[in-house]
Amino acid sequence: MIIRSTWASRLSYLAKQTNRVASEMEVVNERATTGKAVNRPSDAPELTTRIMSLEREIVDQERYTEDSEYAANLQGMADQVLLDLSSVVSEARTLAVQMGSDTYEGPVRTGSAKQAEQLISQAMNLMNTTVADRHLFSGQAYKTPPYGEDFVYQGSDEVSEINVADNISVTVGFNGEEMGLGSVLEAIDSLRVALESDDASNVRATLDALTTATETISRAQTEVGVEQMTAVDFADFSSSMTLELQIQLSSFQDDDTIGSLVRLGQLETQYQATLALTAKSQMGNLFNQI
Amino acid sequence: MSLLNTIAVGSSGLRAASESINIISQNTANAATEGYSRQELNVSTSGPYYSDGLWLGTGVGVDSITRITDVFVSERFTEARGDAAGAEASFRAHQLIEGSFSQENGISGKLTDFFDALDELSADPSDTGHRLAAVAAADAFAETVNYGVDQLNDIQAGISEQMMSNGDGISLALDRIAHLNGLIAPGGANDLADERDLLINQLADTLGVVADYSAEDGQATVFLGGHALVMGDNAREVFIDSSGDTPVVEISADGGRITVTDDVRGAVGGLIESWETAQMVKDEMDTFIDTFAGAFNDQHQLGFDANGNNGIEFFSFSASDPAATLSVSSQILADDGLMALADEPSAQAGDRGNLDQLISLQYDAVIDGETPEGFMAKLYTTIGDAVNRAEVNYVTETAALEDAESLRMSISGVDLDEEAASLLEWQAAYQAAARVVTTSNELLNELMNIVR
Repeated sequence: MIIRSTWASRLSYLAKQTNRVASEMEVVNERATTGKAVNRPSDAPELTTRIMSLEREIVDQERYTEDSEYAANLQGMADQVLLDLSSVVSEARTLAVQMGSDTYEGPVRTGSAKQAEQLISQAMNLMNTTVADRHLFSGQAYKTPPYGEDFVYQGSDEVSEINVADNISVTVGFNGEEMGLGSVLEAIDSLRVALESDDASNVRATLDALTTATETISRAQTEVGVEQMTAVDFADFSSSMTLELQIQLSSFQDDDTIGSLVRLGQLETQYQATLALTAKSQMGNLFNQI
Repeated sequence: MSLLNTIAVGSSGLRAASESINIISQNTANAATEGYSRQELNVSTSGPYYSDGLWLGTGVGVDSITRITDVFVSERFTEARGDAAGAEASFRAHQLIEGSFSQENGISGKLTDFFDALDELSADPSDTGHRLAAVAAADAFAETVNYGVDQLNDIQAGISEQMMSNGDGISLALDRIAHLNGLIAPGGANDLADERDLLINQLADTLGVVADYSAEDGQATVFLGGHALVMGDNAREVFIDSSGDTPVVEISADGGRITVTDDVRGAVGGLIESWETAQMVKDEMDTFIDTFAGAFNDQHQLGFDANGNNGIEFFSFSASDPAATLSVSSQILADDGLMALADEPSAQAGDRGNLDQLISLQYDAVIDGETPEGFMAKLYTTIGDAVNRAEVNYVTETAALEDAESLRMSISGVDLDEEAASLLEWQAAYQAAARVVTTSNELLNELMNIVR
């Protein structure tokens, strides 16, 4: 307790109080306008590491979501290509069944070799499909078409992958050769050769290879499907993780906006009161009464 | 008693009232003057004399004018000013340091962006757009590091400048204090003591000196740490040198100099403390860049670029000043194909073997047992703690100063109500004494008329 209060000490106290209230108003204003209780490390040094780690984790999860969706798109395209390829093989098989029959004359059979050639071309085009400038079945060498004119695999033995979570990746650039896509081309080509040579028994003999090609494509579809499911699962997972992490971050970082606004109202009243008191104390002393 | 004596008694009252009103006017005139201590007139009854079997009064005597102070409170006030000024200077400078390392758009954020760009690139390592984005993110990271260090250098330069400008006035103030001590010693001139104490308090703000006001002769001794800067009318010189690696404060002694840097408080002490924090952050940044960018370069050189050649150094920096000189290799800035992302010379489009290794650096404890981001988080925490400590110190010391100031003002401060009441009191006394003199004069005239 102050023993002797003076005019100057009262004014000095009021000035300090006004300043103190103004300072707190600035802090509360910042919180209310940014919506954050923690705007700099000194606001909560003990939370800095946690907040930075959560922010980093959110960036990672957002990246995983984006990459998983991108991977799923590429895989979806690969699946579609395989489906279309399966139709091509199916057409080749139908052709083989028709032309393997002895009822067809030689010119018809040799003429249908053209049709087989078109099927090869279609299959080749499908296998060489690009999405976002990437070949889907060339492995890591996705800038190179997987198969050339001679059906030789030109891609990489290594698959191309995209990370969908920490230490988890999915294949988006498949090794076409390992999938057996080359044998699909060879099966259709053997049909073409048999048709050109006008040998019905040889044409019939290609049916086994074409059946195997269908099975090969089916296995490839399964492989792509498994990878796509993984990508979709992780897209969902990382998306929910992002939300969860944002909630956690918010609990550490976000301001109680309503509380801040209420406090701001209190401080404004207090500020006006101290200003009024300061103005009043300028007038009130005994000299004015003498 | 004779009527002449009565007039003399009355006039002593007039003098006392007049002197007192003079002091009241001095007090009110200085009510808002910094460092002013209110004064009081000391009066006492004059010695009586014996006449015709009676002891008769001789009026009132003016003994002295007292400067109202308390030695202990004044010493505590001086000390509190030094502590508060130091805490304020330190807090302000620490806030600047923290500001230069803003968390969201600062170094840590740019490091996150860089690794995120590398992660994005891993989905398609051959994509020029992604490569350019990763190089741009690395460049932004390097520029932010440079900017942060530039800011710290600017803060340190500002601190040095402030210290030097503070230093200019210190020796002059010390000489003036010693001179005033010499003038005060014989008679204790109140206003000179106020001027001297104000100078000491201003010196406390600057240097954190403390004072001993208890000497009988009214002289003050000024100390810095255990060293007397002013004793009697002798003063030492103070030298502040902030041009070298670290700021140094020295005082003159026996023809030489003594280093007193560790004893300095006040604004200069607070600035030295902040300078050291800025230096600590710079040193940590140098460690961070030297280790992290070094490890990144080592890994980059193990990979192969788009042409199948061995990687070059991705970052360039000077070993003596890593953080300030960090930049992305100019060759890589000019040709993103030089990013060595593959781990085979064939460098196929999707070969990201080395890119994966580069990305994994963010999870490796490569700097003092910490990951790069962990290290930065630790540095941010350290800065946040330092700012917090400085703030707590500022709040505490400011409150302590306010208490000391209130106490000092309650003793030495002028209260206008009190002075007004005193004025009324002495005005009445003056009027009464004047009435005594005029009445005595009239009686004396009456007496003279009888004689005539």
